[in-house]
Amino acid sequence: MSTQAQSLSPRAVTWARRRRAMARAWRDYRTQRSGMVGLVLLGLIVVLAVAAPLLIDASALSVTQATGGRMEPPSAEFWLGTDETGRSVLALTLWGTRLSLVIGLTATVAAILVGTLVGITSGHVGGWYGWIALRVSDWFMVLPSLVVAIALLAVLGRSVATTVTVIAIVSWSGTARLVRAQTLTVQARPYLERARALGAGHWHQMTRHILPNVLPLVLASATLLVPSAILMESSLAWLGLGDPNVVSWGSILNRASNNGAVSAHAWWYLLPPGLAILVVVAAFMMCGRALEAVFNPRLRGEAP
Amino acid sequence: MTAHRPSADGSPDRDPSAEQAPAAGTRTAPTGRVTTGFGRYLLKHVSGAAVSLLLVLFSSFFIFRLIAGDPIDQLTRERPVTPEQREAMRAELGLDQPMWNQFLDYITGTLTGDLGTSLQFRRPISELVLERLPATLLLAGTGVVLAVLLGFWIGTRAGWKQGSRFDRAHVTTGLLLYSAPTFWLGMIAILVFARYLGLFPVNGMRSPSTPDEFLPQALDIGHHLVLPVLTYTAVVYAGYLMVMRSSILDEVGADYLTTARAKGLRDDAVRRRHAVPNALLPTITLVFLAIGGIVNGAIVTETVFSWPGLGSLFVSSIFYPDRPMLQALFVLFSSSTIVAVLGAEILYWFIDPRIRKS
Amino acid sequence: MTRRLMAAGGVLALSAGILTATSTQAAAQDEDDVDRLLVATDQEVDTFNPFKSRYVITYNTNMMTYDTLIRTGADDYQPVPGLATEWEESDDGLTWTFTVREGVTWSDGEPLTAEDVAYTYDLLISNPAIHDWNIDFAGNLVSAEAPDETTFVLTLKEAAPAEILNAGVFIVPKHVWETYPDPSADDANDQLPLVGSGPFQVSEYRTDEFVRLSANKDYWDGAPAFDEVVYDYYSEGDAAVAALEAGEVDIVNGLNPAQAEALGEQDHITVNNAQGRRFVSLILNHGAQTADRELYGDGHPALRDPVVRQALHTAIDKQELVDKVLAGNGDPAVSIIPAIFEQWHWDGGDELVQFSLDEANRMLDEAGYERGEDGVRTMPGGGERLSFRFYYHADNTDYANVVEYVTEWWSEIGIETVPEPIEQGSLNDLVYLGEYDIAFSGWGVGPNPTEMLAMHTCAVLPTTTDGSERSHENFYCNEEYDALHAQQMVEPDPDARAELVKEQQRILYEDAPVIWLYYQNVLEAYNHDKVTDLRTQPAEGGMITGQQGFAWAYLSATPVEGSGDEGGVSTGVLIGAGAVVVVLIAGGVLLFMRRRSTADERE
Repeated sequence: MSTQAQSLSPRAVTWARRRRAMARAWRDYRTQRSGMVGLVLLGLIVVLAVAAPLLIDASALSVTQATGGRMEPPSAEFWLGTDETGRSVLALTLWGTRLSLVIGLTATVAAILVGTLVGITSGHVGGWYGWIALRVSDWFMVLPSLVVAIALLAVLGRSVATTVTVIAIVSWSGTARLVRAQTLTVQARPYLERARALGAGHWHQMTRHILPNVLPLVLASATLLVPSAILMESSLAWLGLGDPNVVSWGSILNRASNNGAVSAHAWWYLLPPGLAILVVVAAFMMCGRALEAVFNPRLRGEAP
Repeated sequence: MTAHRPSADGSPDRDPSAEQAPAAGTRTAPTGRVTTGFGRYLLKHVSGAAVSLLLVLFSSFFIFRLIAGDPIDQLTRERPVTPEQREAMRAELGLDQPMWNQFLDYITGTLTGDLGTSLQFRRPISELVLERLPATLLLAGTGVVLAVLLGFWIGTRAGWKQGSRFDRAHVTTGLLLYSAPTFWLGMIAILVFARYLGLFPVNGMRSPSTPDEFLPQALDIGHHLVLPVLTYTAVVYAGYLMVMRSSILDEVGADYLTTARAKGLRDDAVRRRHAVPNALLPTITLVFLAIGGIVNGAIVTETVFSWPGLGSLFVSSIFYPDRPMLQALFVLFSSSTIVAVLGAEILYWFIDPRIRKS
Repeated sequence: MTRRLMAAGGVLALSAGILTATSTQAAAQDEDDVDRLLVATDQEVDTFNPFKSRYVITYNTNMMTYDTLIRTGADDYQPVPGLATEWEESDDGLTWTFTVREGVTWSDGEPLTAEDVAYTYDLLISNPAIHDWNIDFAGNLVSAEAPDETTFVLTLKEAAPAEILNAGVFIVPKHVWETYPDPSADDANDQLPLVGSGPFQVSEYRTDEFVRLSANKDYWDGAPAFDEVVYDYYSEGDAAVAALEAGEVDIVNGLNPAQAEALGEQDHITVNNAQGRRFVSLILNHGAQTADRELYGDGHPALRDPVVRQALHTAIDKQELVDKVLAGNGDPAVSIIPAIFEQWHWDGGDELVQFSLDEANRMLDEAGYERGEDGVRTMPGGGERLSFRFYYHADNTDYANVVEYVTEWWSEIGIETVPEPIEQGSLNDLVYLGEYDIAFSGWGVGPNPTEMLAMHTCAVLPTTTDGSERSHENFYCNEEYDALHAQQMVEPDPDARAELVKEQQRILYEDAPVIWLYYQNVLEAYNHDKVTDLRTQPAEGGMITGQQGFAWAYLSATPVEGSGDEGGVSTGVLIGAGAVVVVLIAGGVLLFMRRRSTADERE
């Protein structure tokens, strides 16, 4: 009787509490108009990215099967004109969504994982390890990220994997910093002292007490990292440091500038990928700002 | 508290902590840190910066040595050369020395201001850097000043009248510009203002046919400067706007403002005399911390507009690849951000009393 | 506050407007009546030292600053008199006697004599660094003497008529060069203006901004019509195109098809679609080997079989590549010497490979490469699949497109490729280590075929396997070919030599260690309202930029009448405009201050 209630209840209580917190957060989030706009936009973009193969066949990306002329302006057949090999810019932009999103998300996940790991351990363990971790993340924080990214790509060679790695390398430190500060705050709370007194190990403390407390912050920070990763990817690809074989928004623009789109006044070639970047980045930023307002009440009601 | 860069980043690099910077960074006292006295504070940060500088110096040497390819190939691109020529070039570039000697040469050279010889220009790097520096300073300096003025002014107004139409319109505009990739904005600017309208030149810093006198040269440079600076400012100012707006928001509810109003000061005056000065100082410090973003923005903007500065030099060196030049520029860019951040940290001591008291 | 800002904004906009107006005009006009030919470039200067420079830009500035004894003709790349009015080869081909032109002066007014010529050639012999640097030519020199003011005698180790006729040694002034502590140093001649005897001398250089060359008004071959040639830096092609349209630059080269098309629509611009000297090729790892015939690297064994290489060759539609990838701006390639060098080019004749997937399939079937279950062929008797690594330069979108086409054709003949974009540096490393199957390569070819052909001789095979010796193209070695090569190098009769050179090309073509894909056209454009009479090389369908042996186009270039004084704004107007700007800004600031103070008072 009571054993069952006792064995179930702490977990159930925890989950019920978390559910309530989530519901509250969602309620707060819904009051943020721009956050909702961003969310809807993101939803649309993700649907488009996932459905890309259904909308336009992958063969539209093949140079050898291109049917259009060289840099044709928009027409009934090609709504957004063609590129220098006669491929539809609409198809390229649509398919570019997939890769740009994938790179942005993967790089963010990697950065967040590393950042959180380093942040929690350095805050919790402290000592020499904490000091070194702090210094290293500080170091990465002050270095100009684009300079580091360009240098690393030049060394590692260009591919989607190296791009993701490099972006993660230049962006994990912010999260580590943030998480570390939050960890230190949580550490000072009485219930952690209680847990320690009850003999909780480091692992238990970190995963059961600290992590749940820093997660909301990490989530908000991740939402703001994705757009920065997407922008970074597009800049690197545009500079000519991306994999030339794949279609991302940055690489489309790189091809456009290499092949004289500006000279040819081919606005249809330049506008769509750039606008796509703008919309996705803005959508993520709106969501991120709204999330931040939710988890950081001081800012509540501030987002436009 | 270190390293909370504001979101004023020039380009691709948007920092997650950006929007929180005033909140988590400057407003709450750093946790778990005891500082006693300016001396100790200074020592701590200066030594930290010194360690960072050393790390940069070391890593720069090894990173760029990893770039594949024989430097001699770059020098003889698409022209047949004999083994003798190769050896001669190798000796001339010091590549026949053991790695350890090269490293020592590099360290002593860098510390004495001798940055080596560029592969692509065949000239001392320090000379080239000094030649290019003014162009970068002119572009980035003008851009940052404009962005700061614009961002602060709009940010103040927006924060003061939070939720007003002005606030919403400007925050939205700022956010959109902020979301646009710098290089793309630059390309569009070239397409519209230079190609369609023919108002501005699209390339470089001056025309070779301009007479070599002060005024025509100044006008010519000014003319070339317009598009790059506009592009740069457009992307950057939103960050400053947001930071300033947050700072003002922090001040809006403060007691002293109520007091000031109670004394009968007009809203306008309260804002200018009390709220702005208080919000300004932390924001300015954050601008300092954002120098990493300034460097990023300069690299992209200079490349789009072929601006003969250090950023475009860095990019062309990557594709060469001009290893000694990359090495030197990496050290230069990184150390300038490290020094600027150190400056900001020192500034904090004087601005934020909480650091002193804690 | 808003009004104040609007006022400030107004002032700013106004001054920007004036700035725009005045400086546009300032840029467009030639203030000081100087006829200036502006050429767009994107290449850095390596060194102005003519013995060391290796770049196209400095090759061009050298050609203009200095003269050579013998020039490469404008009409058909044949040797024509330069500083030497005539020359004579001894019967054994080892002694050459040149008659040096009389009455030629250096740009500083000093007379040019055979003494200067002997000094120059002697630098190649006795200055160790200069000798090493130019070893392929200098290694064959024994002595250089000037018995009198107009006679120059050159002695060789071995007869090499073609080398001497195409040497392109830039004659430098003895009286200036003698003062340099080290004539081989990069900065030996950083003292601008340079002293030379050519039509234009480098007079000013600003890194990444411009290189200025001033005309030699006393040039022996007639004074150039332009006062200056200026290389202006445009790191982005689109910027150069925009500048050409706007009249800020007169000649632009290296255009891509979209740019050429856009420029073709402009009234004041002539687009020159010239036959090029550059080929793009695929090199096949037919067995990386050292000079001792020791095989190394990890190339695919199938590529050692000439049949496979020929099948690959047969399964490439070069015309399609030219049409689609180059938008028609090029020609399908046959051999290593591009068609522009008519005299040396071998056109394939009856042996020209015709694109046919069926034929390629038949060749492979007959040779026993059977298709596996996945449609990919395997080595005869089963075993390794014919799957080739395919490396291309990561920064080249043309190559990426070629790869797509070629991959598709080859998949039809049961051959799989694994394309991989690689940086140029890494790609070269891999090739010279023999760790590749198929890779891109491309060269700009000069008028002397020996240079290119030599890359496929046994003599340049590496002695080690560490990939550090890079004089060869891809490990080719064939004794028959080598014998022909040695013969053509000493053959004095051009026609007989051409036969030998063509035979060499035929052997390469048949053996197919390399598949030449296309010869790329040079797309260049100039403003015909500003410049005319640009002499092309060769005469028929030739190019303006990228000339060899002498800068014919810039010597013949003439400014178009009346182009120099359009829209001229005097310095006075400029100063006036500047003053207006200053006054406006000052006014704005004053206004701002005043409003500020009244506002303060009101508080």
